[in-house]
Amino acid sequence: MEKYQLKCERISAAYADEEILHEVSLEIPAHQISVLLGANGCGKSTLLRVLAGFLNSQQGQVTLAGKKLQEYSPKEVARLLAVLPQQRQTPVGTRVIDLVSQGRFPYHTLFGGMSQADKQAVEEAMDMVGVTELAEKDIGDLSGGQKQRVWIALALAQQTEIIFLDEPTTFLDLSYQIEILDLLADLNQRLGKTIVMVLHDINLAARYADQIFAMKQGRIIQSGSPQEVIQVDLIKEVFDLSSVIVQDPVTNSPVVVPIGSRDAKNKRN
Amino acid sequence: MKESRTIFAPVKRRKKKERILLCGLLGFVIFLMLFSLVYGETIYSFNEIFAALTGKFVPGASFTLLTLRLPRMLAGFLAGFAFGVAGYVFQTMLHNPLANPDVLGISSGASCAVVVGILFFHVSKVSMAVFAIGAGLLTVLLLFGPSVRNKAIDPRMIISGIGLQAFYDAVISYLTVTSDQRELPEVLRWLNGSLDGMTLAQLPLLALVVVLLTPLVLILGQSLSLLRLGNETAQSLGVNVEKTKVGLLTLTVIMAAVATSVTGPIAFVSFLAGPLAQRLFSRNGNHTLSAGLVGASLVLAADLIGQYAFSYRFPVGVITGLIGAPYLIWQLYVMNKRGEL
Repeated sequence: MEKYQLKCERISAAYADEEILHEVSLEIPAHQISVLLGANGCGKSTLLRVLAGFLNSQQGQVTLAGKKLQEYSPKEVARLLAVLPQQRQTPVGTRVIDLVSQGRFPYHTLFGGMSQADKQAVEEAMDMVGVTELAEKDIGDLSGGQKQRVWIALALAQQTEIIFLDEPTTFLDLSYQIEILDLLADLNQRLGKTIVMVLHDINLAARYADQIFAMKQGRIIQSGSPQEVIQVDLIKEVFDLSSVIVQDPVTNSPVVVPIGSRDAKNKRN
Repeated sequence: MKESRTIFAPVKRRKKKERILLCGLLGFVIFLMLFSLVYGETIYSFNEIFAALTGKFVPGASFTLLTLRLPRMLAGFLAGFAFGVAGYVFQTMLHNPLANPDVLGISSGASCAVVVGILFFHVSKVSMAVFAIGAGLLTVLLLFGPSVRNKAIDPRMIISGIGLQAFYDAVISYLTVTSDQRELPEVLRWLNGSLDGMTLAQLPLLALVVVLLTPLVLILGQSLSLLRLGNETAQSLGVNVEKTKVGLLTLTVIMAAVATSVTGPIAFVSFLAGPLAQRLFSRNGNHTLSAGLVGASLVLAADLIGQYAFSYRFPVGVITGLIGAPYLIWQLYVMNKRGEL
C-alpha cells in the first residue's frame, strides 16, 4: 500500500511569524484511524492543515505517494485526500443532495456536468452515511448529527483514500459524537479508508484510534497505540493533569480519570 | 440505476425549471431592448426599425434609431450586464451582500479617474476606460493587498472600501468645484450615470470586454458556488482559492470599470442584480449569467422610466438610485438584526 503513503519530514510552520510547528516528522499509517491529540494551541489543527496542503510549511515537506504535495494540482490532491475543516459555511437554503454533489468537483472537466459515475458516487456516499432520505432537505433544518453526516458524505463523494477531519465531534451531543465516530470506524473497516482526525477528547481518541500522535507545543512527543500512549506521565505532560488510567469496561481501551485539586484534597482527608 | 433516477429526479426538475426561467429572463431583456428601439417621441414600426438597422435610409427613423436609440439601448444593455456580473461575483466571493464595486469604492475610484481624465487631460473615450481600469485595479490592490497576504479576506475591508469611497467622492467634489466651469456639464451628466448622448463609437471597447471576459468569468466562476462553503472546504474540493479569487476580481473589476467609463456610475445596479437574481432563481448554484441579465434589465427599464415616466427626463442613475437606496437601507437593517454588521 505504498500508493497512498502520506508522510511529512521535519516540517515547521508558522502563522504571522509565530512558529507553531517545530520540525515535525510523522508517517500516517494507511488504512488505519490516526488521532492527533493535545491541549488547545499545541498545533494539532495546524499540523492537519499542513498535511492537507492548506498551509505551506516553511521547512520540510509533506509527501503523498512519494511525491511532494505541492507538485500535485489542487484537483489531484482533492482526488487523493478529502478534508472536513472545522470552519465551514453552509449557505442558507442548500439542499443535502446539492452539497454532496459538490464532492464530485475534483472529477469535473471544464465543460462536463454530472456524469453517471458522479451520480453513483454521490448516491453511494449518501447511502453509506444514511442521509439518502434527507436528499431534498435544507441543511439548515437538520440536527447537528445529521449535518455532520452530510458533510462526511461530501468527503466520501470525493472517493479519496484518505479523509482528514478537524474536530468532527465538537458541538455535538454525546450520543451524536459516538454515532459519528462509529460511522468513521465503520468506513475505515469496510472500505479501508485512512482516517486522520483531530480530537480533543482523550477517552474518545483512545477508544477509536489505532494510532495516536500526542502533541505538545508544536512537537510530537509520543506516538503509538492508545495503550502505549495513554499513560499517567504523558497525560501529565500533555494536559498538565494528574490522572488515573483505568480500563474502559466496554472496549478495554484506556480511560483517563482526572484527579483535580479538589479530589486530591478530599482523598487526603 | 433505478434509485439514481429517484434521488436525482428533483435535481433534474429544478435544473430544468432554472433553464426555463433563464430563457424567460433572456426574453424579457430582448423585449426591453426592442421596446427601447420602438418607443419614444415617435413610435416606429418593426419594418422601419429593421430597414434602418440593416442600413436602408428611412427618413427620420434612420437618424433617431442609429444615432439616438440604438447606442443608448446597447450601452444600457452592456453596462447593466457588466455591473450585474461584477456585483454578483463580488457578493458571492466575499460572502457579503454589501460587497460590490459601488460600496467598496471601486466605482468611485474609476469615476474619480475619469473626472481627472476629462478635466485635466481632455482624454479620448478609450483612454478614459484605461484610466478607469487603472483606478479600479488600484483600489482593489489597496483593499485586498494587505489581506490577500494573510490568506483571508477581512470583513473590515467593507469599512475600508466605504472610507476610500468617501475619499474619492471628496476628490471628485473638489475637482468639480474648482475646475473650469465649461467642462462641468459633461462631468456632472456623466457622474449621474447617464445614457444621454451615447454614440456607437463609444461602445466597441465595452462590447469587446463584455463578450471576451464573460466566458472567462463563467469558467473561473464554476467554483464560485464552492467558495460559498468557505475557503477551506473549497480548497479541500480542489479549488485553487487564491488563483480563482484574484482572477475573478481582476476580470470583474475590468468589466465594471470599463462600463463606468462609458456610462458613468449607474448607482446600485451591481448591488441589486445579484440578490434579485437569487430571489428569481435560488440562493444557491451559480447565477452569474442571470445576474448579468437582471443588471441589463434594470438599466434598460430604469432608463425607459427615466425618459418617459415623468415630465422631466431623469438620467438612468437617478432612477436606479431611487430603487436601490431603500434596498440598501433594508439590507443594512436585516444584517444588523442578524448581527452580521
